[in-house]
Amino acid sequence: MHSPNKSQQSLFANLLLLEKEQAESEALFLSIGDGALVTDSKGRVARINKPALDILGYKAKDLIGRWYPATVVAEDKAGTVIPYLERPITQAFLTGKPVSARIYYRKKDGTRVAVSLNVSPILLDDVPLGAIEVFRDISQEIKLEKAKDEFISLASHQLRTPATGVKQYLGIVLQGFAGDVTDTQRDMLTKAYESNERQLRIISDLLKVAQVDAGKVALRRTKVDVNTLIEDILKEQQSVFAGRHQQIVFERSHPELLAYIDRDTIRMMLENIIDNASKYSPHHTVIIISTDGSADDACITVADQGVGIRREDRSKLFEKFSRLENSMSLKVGGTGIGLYWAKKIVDLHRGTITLASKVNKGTRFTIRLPKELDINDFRE
Amino acid sequence: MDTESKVRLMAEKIHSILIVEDDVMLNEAYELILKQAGYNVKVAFSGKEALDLIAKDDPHMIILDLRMPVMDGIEFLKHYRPKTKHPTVSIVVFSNYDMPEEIEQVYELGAERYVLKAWASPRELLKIVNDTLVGQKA
Repeated sequence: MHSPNKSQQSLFANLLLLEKEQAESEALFLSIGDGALVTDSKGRVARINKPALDILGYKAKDLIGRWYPATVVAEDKAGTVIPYLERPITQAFLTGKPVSARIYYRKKDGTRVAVSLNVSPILLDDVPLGAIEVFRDISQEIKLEKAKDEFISLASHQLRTPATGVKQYLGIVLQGFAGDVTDTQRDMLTKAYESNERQLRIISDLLKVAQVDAGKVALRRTKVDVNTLIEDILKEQQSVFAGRHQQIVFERSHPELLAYIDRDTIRMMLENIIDNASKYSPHHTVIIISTDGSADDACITVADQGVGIRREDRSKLFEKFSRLENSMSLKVGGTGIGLYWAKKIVDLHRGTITLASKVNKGTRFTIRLPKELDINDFRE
Repeated sequence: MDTESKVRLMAEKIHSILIVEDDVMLNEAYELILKQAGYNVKVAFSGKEALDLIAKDDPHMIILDLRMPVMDGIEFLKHYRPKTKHPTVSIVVFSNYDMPEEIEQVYELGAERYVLKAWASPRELLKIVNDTLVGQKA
């Protein structure tokens, strides 16, 4: 027997390395606490770990070698089966990019389980060799979220009653139903009244958010002229702008801009954005609101010359209770819920809301809303 | 309401208002505000009490809370049959729960208007009452 030459040694070393890497990847796969599965290039299940089997209620032999989308059925919240083409794993294959989603899987016993999943294609030179999906059971999270929303709703309604009582009695004194008051007394009582009004606004905001989080906001879509809606809002807010010596410019590309939207919620959302533009801008500045429309979308921009938003704060902007620190935030009252709610409403309309901003120069919000309904709107 | 009472009321131009509200503080506040403004005010703390109170005489207007013990506002609306048709008794719901399904239901059951209590100051309450009574068709 002759001893191995240099190239054979190198081959042997590479094989050992590959085996080591394979063992490591196997150990990694087995140690993932969440459900995990790997499919081949045709979407057939190649490997699946115990947590995945436990969550789905299947045995390995039920799934290995079977085409994943057909064997494990996925549904949306309403119970509608998600077509193969729209499954996250298919999307990952088609786009070559990782996909995240929250869906429901039908278990072997017919019941369903809510999961949060991430699926990534396995690519070699841009060719998909398969996909790896990791998911976890979020039933507990959903229960907790529901309980939280119900609690917020209950507490807020309970808080509203005594606050309404305070409003009545302060109002009775301030509005002349209990005799005269001195100027000093009026000042004090007015402060108390305004503070209570603020309390009532916070309660209203909490209720709005709890409602939208609980998925209880049902949109009532009708054909609305967005331009007329904005005109109404500007008319109503005129005295506020005048008080701040702010000039409002409304530019529209078409006389009419029709879109299928829920008038009330979109109105509230726009009022919020426009109000923010005014609140966070110094006096004697200009706010430009413009509308435009493509074949598919209605587009609304609100641009101000205000304090601006720092780049590092942008990710927090649409979060609940987020109030950014800037030169005006202490003076400006707010609950930190407006933009969170605004984004949720825009999302429900399948629209988008984006912004561009420069500190101390200004901010521009751009809202895009689909003009027409699509098949998904009827699923809700 | 008999003819004599009708004539007397019209002559005096005093409208009668029934407040149906279980929260004592709010009930008393509304009573004070409306009495000060010169209205003839009756109060009830549940739907049942309200029905008993107006069994013989309809008020011109009812301010109705929804969430009350013994009999809530919705049940009251289902059971209340005003004797007078001309003018109709105006029912304005005053509630702190703004649930769309509930709002639709009260309109279907004959309420004229739905007001969020939290947003109505004494002055606004009076305006609502005045607008409602002025809007009544004889």
